[in-house]
Amino acid sequence: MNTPNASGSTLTEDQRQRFEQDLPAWLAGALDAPDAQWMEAVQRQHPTLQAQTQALRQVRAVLRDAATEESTDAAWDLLMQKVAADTAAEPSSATRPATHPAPSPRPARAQPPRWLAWLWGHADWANACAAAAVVALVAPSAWMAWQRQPAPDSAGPAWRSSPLARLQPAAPGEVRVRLEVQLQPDAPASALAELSALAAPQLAAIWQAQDGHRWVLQLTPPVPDTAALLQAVQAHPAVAQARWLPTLDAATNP
Amino acid sequence: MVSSTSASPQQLLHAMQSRDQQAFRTLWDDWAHKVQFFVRSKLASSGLDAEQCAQEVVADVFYDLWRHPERFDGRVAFNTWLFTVARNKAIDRLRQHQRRAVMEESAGDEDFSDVPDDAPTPEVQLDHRQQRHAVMRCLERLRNHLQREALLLWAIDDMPLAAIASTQQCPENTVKTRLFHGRKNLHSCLQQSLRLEATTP
Repeated sequence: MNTPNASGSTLTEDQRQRFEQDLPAWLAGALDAPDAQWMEAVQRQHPTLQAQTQALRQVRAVLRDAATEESTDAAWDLLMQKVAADTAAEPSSATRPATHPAPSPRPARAQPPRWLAWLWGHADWANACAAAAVVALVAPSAWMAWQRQPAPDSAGPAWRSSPLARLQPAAPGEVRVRLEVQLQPDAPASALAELSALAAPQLAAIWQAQDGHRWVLQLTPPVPDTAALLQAVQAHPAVAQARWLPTLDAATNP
Repeated sequence: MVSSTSASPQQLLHAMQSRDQQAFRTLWDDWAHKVQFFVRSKLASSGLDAEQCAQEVVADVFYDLWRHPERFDGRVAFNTWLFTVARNKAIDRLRQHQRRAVMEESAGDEDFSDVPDDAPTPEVQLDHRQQRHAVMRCLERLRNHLQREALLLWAIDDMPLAAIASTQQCPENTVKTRLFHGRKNLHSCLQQSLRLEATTP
């Protein structure tokens, strides 16, 4: 491959492809000497390749000129703002320049607040801070609004007119037994708890207030020995009278 | 203080570790315009404000350099490292604007439209101002931004193909292909510009 194979009058496709592939590296001076010699030889043989080389040289020159003339004043100002903010934030840091790192002739600009300058240089944190601020503002308001809003089911007349058994429905198919208890007029408040314990602690017991010191104790599931329970309840000193009420089936008598 | 006229980037960075401001300014003067031009051209037609983004990126790159000059460890050439850092920051900005995916979709290497090589070269027939305008416009119109990027890295700083491959995180042969098709597409566009110039009264 070191010997130029471009002595013929016709440029082969392989030669053209090799030339095309190596042209940027050759122009950059990055080809090995033998390959560079081949590039020179093939161009001598084929003036169209010289024109192509010249065209690419000109494109490169244009881009280099444009890069050289690129104005970096605005970017320098941005950089100085970052450095100034850094300086203000870390007055004793080892990374702090004694003065601005360049004797820029540009007029000094008003510096933004330190926290704003810091956020300017840390866009991710700025976004996070903004999100946190929104949450901090919105969340308490939403919480208070939610707290003040009445529950939709609590104010309707339907609730007021519903029977207690409907408000405390049992699971379908459950059988509830009810014990009506007439308390003594001077029965202590703890009497209901004592009677619940008597009824059987493992059962779910619900007291329903009736008129005239009467209470209905609803038990789920039914107690195994209703007679013994009735006797125990009647023996309690706070109880004036007690009796079993008809059994309720939750499926048929909600 | 480092003599700024002939100091290498490594020497300047070493001086910056001792907070040498003159070294920093020299490094800026040597490289900032190239980096900014590269980023601005790379972001052209991305939908972003390429000029403003390029300014922010170059300020960001050199801010990091000022704070941590030791991060350049010399394992690759300084220009490779610097352009890679700038490229990554530019890509971050593109991602922030959720435009990168759109650009990648149109980044195939197949948009080469062949142009006869024995055609007259339009570039030599344009004056300098027209030539620059045409080249910049055609460069921005390259649909494949990776071709544009490879051309820029090659043209701005004579970056070797291996270094371009390192910056673009691709095999060297891919860079060759990108440069090849990028040149062809640029050439095709410049020919069209020449025809337009010729037909414009």
